[in-house]
Amino acid sequence: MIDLLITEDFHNNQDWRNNKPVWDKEKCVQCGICYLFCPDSAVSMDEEGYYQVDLDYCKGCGLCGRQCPTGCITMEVEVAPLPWQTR
Amino acid sequence: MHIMSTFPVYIPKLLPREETFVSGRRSCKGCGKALSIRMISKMMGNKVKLSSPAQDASFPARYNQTSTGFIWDEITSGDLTTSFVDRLIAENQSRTKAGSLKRATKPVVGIDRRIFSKDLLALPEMFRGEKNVVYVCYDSEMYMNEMLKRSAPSLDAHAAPHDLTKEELQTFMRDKNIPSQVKELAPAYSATACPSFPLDLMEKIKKALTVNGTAFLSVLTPCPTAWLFKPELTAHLGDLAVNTGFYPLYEMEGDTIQLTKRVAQPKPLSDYFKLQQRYLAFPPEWLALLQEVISEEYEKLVAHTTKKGV
Repeated sequence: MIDLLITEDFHNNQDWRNNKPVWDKEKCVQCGICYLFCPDSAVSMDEEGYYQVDLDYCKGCGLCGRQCPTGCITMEVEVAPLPWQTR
Repeated sequence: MHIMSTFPVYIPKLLPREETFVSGRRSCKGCGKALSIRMISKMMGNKVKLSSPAQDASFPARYNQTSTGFIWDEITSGDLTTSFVDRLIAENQSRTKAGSLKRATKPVVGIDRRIFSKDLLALPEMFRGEKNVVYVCYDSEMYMNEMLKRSAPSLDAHAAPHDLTKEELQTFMRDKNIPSQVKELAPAYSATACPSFPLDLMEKIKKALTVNGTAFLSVLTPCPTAWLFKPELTAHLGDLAVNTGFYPLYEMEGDTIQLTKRVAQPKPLSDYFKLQQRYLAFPPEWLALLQEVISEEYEKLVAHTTKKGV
């Protein structure tokens, strides 16, 4: 009951993240395993059949990069903005 | 009928695109529970809408947010779960009578493995009566503190941690495989699964939804926060748990047991243990003992499957 009363709007998961996945389109075979293994359902397919990430939802766990069979995903280090910089 | 059912081989690209387990939730990085719930909700395919607002501190799929088909029960089982399930069954029956539904949707109930060590009557109570329900039991090994982690006793505990014997470990590993316990309660279908083998998990959920009667599924969900490993290794650890024989994947229909992932040469258990920081103080003598017990249990399982001629 308490969680129903305390409400706070969802903004993004940006401050959870230290690094983000980056796809190398030359190596990608469009298998969709990164899409299948994303626990936050942030990975989606674009019009060309390649995969991309929604950076509002990505937490940077790196599961997609670990499971990728061709190794086309690299985790790029990204410094998250501090809370007072986003407000 | 979805396009996937026309192909003999599963391709991740052809899975249903719509996300019923909505993103923007507060699960940890690389959460195995969230991963398996997402895979399960993809395969359920009915009009279930699951979402979790950001203010939910503990876990996304709580009962007050899930309204239609998928129930998450954190610790308790009993009145709450049974009332939800009864209500769902009554609603389904009334809708099928009125003609707005062609076929009754089968409720799926998610339960944490912890309740079976806290509430001993939970397991028989789930199978009482003839309910047409799918139970999904999430095993994140939270209950294993006293037995395997050898953590420090809590303040009011009088007993010091004691050395384990082989018999204790044998009973423990036998109890860990819930489907073999559940066998006496006669479910229509029961199986073990792991999100590291996603298409196997989806196949099992599909079978559990189509079978006539109560189905039980036990899912191993690696937990980076509690097991203390890097979040990117979630799927790798589930893979190792299956390939070492620690968590064999099998399904049970009536009396026949079928191994869905047969491991020819199991890897040593130390591969699985050394990646997890929670086993930092685990003595090597116990590891040898546990390895012995696990390989025995696995051989027993394999012998049981071959005897039935499956």
